[in-house]
Amino acid sequence: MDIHTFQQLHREGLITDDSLQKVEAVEKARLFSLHWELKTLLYLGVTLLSGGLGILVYKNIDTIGHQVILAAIALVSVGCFYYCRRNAAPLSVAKVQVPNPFFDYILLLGCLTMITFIAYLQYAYSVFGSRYGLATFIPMVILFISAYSFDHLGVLSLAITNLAAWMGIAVTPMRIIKENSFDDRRLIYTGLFLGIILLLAAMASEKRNIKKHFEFTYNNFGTHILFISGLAGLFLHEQFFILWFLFLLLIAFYIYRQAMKKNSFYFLLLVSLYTYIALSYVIIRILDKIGFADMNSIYLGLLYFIFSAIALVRILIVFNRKIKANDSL
Amino acid sequence: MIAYNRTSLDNLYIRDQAKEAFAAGCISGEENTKIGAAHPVNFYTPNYFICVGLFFLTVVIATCSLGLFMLVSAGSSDSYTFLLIFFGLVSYGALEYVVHKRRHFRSGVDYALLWMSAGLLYAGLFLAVNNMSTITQCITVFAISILFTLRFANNIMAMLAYTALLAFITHIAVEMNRAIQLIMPFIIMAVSVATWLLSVRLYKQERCRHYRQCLTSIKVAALTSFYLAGNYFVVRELGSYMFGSAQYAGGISWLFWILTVATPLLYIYQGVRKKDSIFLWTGLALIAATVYTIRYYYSVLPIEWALILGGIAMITIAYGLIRYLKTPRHGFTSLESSSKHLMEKLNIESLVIAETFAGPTAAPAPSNDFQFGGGSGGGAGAGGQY
Repeated sequence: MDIHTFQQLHREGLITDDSLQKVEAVEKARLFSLHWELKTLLYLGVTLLSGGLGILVYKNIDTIGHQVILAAIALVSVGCFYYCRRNAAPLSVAKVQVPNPFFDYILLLGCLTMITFIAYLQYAYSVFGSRYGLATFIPMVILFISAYSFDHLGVLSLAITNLAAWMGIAVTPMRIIKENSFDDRRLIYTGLFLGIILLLAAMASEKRNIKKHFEFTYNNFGTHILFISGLAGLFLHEQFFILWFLFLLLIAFYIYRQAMKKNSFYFLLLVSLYTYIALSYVIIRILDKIGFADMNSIYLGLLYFIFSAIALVRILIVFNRKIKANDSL
Repeated sequence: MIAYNRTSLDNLYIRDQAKEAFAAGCISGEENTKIGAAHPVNFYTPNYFICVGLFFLTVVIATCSLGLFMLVSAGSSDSYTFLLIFFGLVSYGALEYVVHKRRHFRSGVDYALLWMSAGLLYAGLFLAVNNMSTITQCITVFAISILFTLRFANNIMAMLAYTALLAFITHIAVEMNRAIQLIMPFIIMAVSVATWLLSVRLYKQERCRHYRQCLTSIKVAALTSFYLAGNYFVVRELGSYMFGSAQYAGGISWLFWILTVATPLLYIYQGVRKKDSIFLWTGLALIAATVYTIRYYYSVLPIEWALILGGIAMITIAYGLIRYLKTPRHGFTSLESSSKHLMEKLNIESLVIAETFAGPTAAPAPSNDFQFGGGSGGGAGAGGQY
């Protein structure tokens, strides 16, 4: 807080002597916090250490052998879960307080090592054989149980990712574009199904009051997956793209209503952008079908983009005003 | 000089200060409201996500318009040049309009138009002049970016201007005789020090109060350039690339090794001494560069052992300091100092009373009553309100 500003405000008569004194006292007593510097140092140290250990293990895998490593990973995982079980607050459907700052990270470490353990088990000894579904099902169940009993949003995200993997889709954004070809029609329908389940889970969280704060994560994943699967369906089905477009509009309308109810800029932006992509695709398709001489359709296309972008800018500004009016912040 | 409304910028600053004081419990709610009413802010700054959307859409609009014009026009390279410069000026005109008439401030639109006009102007000028020499390029970039920095107080433009200045000096040295080339690093170091002193001086001035963020960025850039000018890797590789032949092999290379290691340590020491976070963070970041430089020339340890030992060292130091500084010492603390409810936490009332009665000569007893919030666990998942 800048003392000069408050002295000026005092001169203008906007704050009392008492307030000015309080500000001055606070500033005098303020300590220089090294919190973030030390936290960053800690994280970097952990990253370097784990990186180094990983390389060490990788280089010496022959001498160390799989069993020792598996045992070590299992030990870490069990240890973390034991620590969390000991120190966790009692189970409840409301938001639970963290007993200490390290708790979250130890839980995360436990879950990650558990996943690593099972993946390693499968890789080294093919414990699950060709039943890959089982290999992802078991971690998923453990993760969901951990997320709900220890109240950890990060673990919830891991659990949802595992759910998607189990349903056969990679959920994280980078991998959606890279790994998945989305040629397989079944994947698209699975994606839609998954998206709808997640949105229903979000609704259930809120209505039944079971861990209400999980709602955002469920909504987030659900919206992205639903839209991306919908768009994939739109791009893939050349004959029925109008139907898919209408379906996407339906989804968009639902999520728009939700966003307005919750005064959420984020979901409004998502709806706008995804719908814009779908609309642009449809227009380009139509332009292509009408098939003018080449240059004309390009001109029309560019003109469409210019005017639609201007329209979308206007719409976003209107949204902004609408939500700000409802917002108490 | 700045395009944004100065009164609104000042009022924005005052409002933020008042909000902070209110959160700390120093001023009352009605005082906060009164201050807000007395210092109105007339800017249009939408929500962060809307800004992102506006940014992308503005870029789409501008690019498609440019594309349309380019397709329609004849298509010779001259007309492209003219078109680029014309569009650059049109974007700049749009930017001024949006800032003055529509009162946009840090909405995605002004960022997008700023970068598009700067980029288009530069591209147009680059194409307009045949075989523009590197020095002229540097001058052009510097001129454009300093104009935009002064007009819109954009941090990245400021750093771009500084980089262009350094590049300009380096490239001029290429033309000059051997003696100047040999003392090149020291020239850059001198320029860095001068820039740093200048930005410190300007920061304190009332006239430059709207450019404080830019000046901070320039400070960081100056510290970094000072380090890089003395860094052994940079001096050796850049020296041989620009001026040919191994420059400082043998001669005074020991000096640069000393500088490479000592400079980040000096920054950290200065940061701790003056409690300045800029020095501290820059020093910490540059230590990584130093480590990398040393490993490039001398393979001290196989990589995995270096990572393991380095990791253990960092964890030990961090954990040790966190424990040591849990209770405040020498004015440092390892806990988070958020402004919220600072009044209650710092037991301010008693302090104020103590000060009032003890008079200016007695310093209030600090430290032991303070409870800094330990935070309610920094969850690793997505949370918060959007």
